[in-house]
Amino acid sequence: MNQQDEFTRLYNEYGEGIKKLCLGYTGDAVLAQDLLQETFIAVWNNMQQFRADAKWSTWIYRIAVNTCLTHLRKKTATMVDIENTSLAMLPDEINTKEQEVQLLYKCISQLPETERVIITLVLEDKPYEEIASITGITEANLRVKIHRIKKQLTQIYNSHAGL
Amino acid sequence: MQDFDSLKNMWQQPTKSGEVNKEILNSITNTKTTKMKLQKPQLHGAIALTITAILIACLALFGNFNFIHWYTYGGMVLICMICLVQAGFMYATYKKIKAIDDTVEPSAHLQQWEAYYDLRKKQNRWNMPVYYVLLNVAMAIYMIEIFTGRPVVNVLIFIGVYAAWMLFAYFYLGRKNLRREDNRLQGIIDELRGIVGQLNAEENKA
Repeated sequence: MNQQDEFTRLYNEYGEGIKKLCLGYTGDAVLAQDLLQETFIAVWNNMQQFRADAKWSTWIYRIAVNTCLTHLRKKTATMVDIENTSLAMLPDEINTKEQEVQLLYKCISQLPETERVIITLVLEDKPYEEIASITGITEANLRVKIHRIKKQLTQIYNSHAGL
Repeated sequence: MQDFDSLKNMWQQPTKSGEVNKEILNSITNTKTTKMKLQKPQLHGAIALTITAILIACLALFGNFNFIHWYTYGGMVLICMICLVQAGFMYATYKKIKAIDDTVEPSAHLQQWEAYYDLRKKQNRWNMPVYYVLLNVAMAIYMIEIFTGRPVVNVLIFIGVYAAWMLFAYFYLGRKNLRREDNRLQGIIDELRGIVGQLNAEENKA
């Protein structure tokens, strides 16, 4: 398999998950698309360095997390819009599945940065061991943290959904 | 009232992101990442300075100027050398940015940016002043013979225009570029520090 075929396979396998991570992180579709592209540029540029002893999934998600974290500056301005405008404009009652998902993205983007990354990985059903490896947080600490973030996210969502 | 499992089910619904296509593959080559934006001026600067040095060397060797004094050629050689040293310096900076590993843990990623930023801050303090002083000394040596016997008014006009350009390049263009680079890097570092601070705070709490 040449690099382009391998890259295509990786994009098809992880592209959707990474896009969701970026959406959860930014709460903004345009910015998430930019971050998705940046992530896969870094994937393309670093593919030769990938060692078979690691998992593609961990490796790609770590690149995505680093890409998101180094884009905080651009995102800050967007966050203000999300908090002050987007959520305020949402209807009191959530009618469709799509709206529910959009609200979920917005709610995640209200959490502190590291928590956004962690909860997105939890929602993706990544094992704790892998989340620890991606974020560099010890597994024991991660368990405590995840329990708290789950509670926090559920509260934020329910308060915005008016449930 | 939704519980976390309901949110997870919601999250895991398939989206319409679709398969990779040519457009996405093309965008990989066309999109510029933050890292690329920092790398590009260094590489382009290194190439431009190397070309400048080669052109000046060609002029000195094949230009048939027939200068009387050896130090005029010496001035040209000095200009070439200064350009080449600065090109090497810019290329080394380009390589340093390129070497930042995007695949490591976030805290290690931050440390690499911090190390690079610290280095750039140190470099910025001495590199540009030294480069400009040396370049202008070399230019002055070169100009001695060129100006000899020319009307004073012409010499003064030339020196005036030259000095104005150098001051503009140093105090406006150069400092503006440095400030832009400094702000961009400082932004990344500050906010990554904030992230690592969040991670460390949680580690301490737990």
